[in-house]
Amino acid sequence: MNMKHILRSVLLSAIGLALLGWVSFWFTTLNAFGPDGESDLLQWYFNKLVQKEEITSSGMPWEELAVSLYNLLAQMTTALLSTTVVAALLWSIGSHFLNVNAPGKAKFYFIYWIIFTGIFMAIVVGIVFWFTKSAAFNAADYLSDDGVIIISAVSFIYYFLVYYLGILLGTARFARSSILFGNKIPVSELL
Amino acid sequence: MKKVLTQISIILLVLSISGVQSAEKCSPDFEMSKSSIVNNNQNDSSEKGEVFVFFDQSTTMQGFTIDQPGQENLYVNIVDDIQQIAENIGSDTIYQNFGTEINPMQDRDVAKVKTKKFYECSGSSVACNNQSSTIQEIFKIAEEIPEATHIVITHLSLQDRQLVGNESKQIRGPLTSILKQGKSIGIIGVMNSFNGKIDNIPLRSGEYNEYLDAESRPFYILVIGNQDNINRIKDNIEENHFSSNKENFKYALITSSPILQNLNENKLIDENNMPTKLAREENFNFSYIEDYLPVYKFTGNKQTKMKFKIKNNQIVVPGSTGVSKFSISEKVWTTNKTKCKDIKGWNEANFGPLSEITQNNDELVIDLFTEKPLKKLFRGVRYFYKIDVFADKPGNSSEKEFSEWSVNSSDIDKFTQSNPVSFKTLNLEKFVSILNAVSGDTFKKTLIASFAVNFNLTK
Repeated sequence: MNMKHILRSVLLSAIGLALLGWVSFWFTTLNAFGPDGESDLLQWYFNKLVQKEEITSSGMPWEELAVSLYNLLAQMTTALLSTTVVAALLWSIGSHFLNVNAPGKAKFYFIYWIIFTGIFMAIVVGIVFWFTKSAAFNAADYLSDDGVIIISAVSFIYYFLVYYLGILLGTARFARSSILFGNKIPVSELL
Repeated sequence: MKKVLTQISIILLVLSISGVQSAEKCSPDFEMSKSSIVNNNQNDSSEKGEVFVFFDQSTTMQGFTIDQPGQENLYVNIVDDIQQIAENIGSDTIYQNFGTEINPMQDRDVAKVKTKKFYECSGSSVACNNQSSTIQEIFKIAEEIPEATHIVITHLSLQDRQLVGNESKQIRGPLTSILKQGKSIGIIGVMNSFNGKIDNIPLRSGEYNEYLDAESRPFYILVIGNQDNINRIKDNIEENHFSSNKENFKYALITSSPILQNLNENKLIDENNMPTKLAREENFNFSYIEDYLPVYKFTGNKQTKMKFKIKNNQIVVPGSTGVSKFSISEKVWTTNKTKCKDIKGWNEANFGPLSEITQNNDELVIDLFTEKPLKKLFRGVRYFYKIDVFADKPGNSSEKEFSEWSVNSSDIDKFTQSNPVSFKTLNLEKFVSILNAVSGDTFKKTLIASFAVNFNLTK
């Protein structure tokens, strides 16, 4: 086991994560600062994510109510991004410990990857559910059914892609066949 | 050093004073809804008014004065009681008899009311047959002298013609005026022994028949005046003669407003109007705003049950027509600051109907948040929900009360042929329904209670 290879995997995984993960980081920062006047994002949330009629009939200004929704989204994306990073790094490091001692054996570990990825996606779903459907956050009440579907779908697809890019680059070179399309990556000094 | 300490103390003092002065906005600004209930119970003047007592002198009334074996005769005693009460409640008592016309009575005649002789017809046989009592004339007198109390003792059998067209107007017109002046009409019915002739029974052929086999028949005491006097007469008769068995006693009160009182004015709303469970909610507090509006303040959750109950006997005048329809007017204010000290202002919400109101035999129930359940409201928001409860439409319980003793002109022929021992009163239900209709016309939508819930909604 070469520590240098593991560190290179971690670095490559981090690069893979960063390729799309910056968007999540930016989005989290945006939400953490709270609503800004009549910004497009504030309006978009109102139009797409929340129960417009209920909010209007409550008489409360959307800008005031949105503070807690921004907070919810900031915390949720932080949790999702953290989980994604941890999952991608775990796999990338763990792939070095897979016992690939014969040609073609790496493909055998595909099932491991599928299970690991399944668990990761289940955690993503659980996090989204906890933030949007449980009683943990009051702002979850504002979300419409369509809003929850949008948040769930975007989170599911987006964080999978972030995770996938992280593991695609970070998986040990000898175990790349264990992940989807892993063997398509050209082998070079860098990768 | 001393100087610095003094400066700090001054700053702290100023800050503490400004903190006290910034009043908490724990409730929104709104106009209190006030009631327009006219208290019908009170006599306008402290002086006793005149009392007019009218005795129905039609010959059929004779039957009440003659004992019937096996039947209890209360007529004589009740007439006695009424004479006594009339003397007590009035400054001056004027006795009159009526049949086809109204005549004043001499004092010596008053004692004769309890005897058969008083009802003997002294006119021609034509005049004595087919008599009908001119009860509408009494209503006219009551309209002209509204400050007096008018007591009428009669069999109250009314012909169809007296209840339609011009003759009906002669009843409705004065009645409307009487009720508008805040007076009420009490109808006390007593099923009594009867041993005589019931005449004026209309046949389908257009002729009139008579019936001799009745052993009991109701007579009525109509009292027109203020509710105090009506209740006094009713209570006296009820206590003296029907304390143990009310089977032969019926009572109805027709009034322009069957509403007894506004619960806020008398501060009759308390914690017990809501379920006891509510008092166990976090931060529960019950208090009155401006000494008028009761507010239930608490931290609730989406499972909190709120049923506001009012006992019927607190709002409906006993014996009156009651109220057939209630309504509520709702207003909600919201704020996302859950602590009172953080609230700068409230927002008026427009949720539409939130609760529903139902009435059963004993109570009026306002089931809060049934139309829009709490689970559809946002958590983390403080709600101030104010409800005004109105009586919308008077009821018709008095019609039902007397329907048992009433027979319509279309059924009376058949009823007579069945040889009844206990005879019913012709068109009684129609007469009571006319009284009810008039009281319905004079009825105004009345605010009976207002209350509010001020709660912070959590999980």
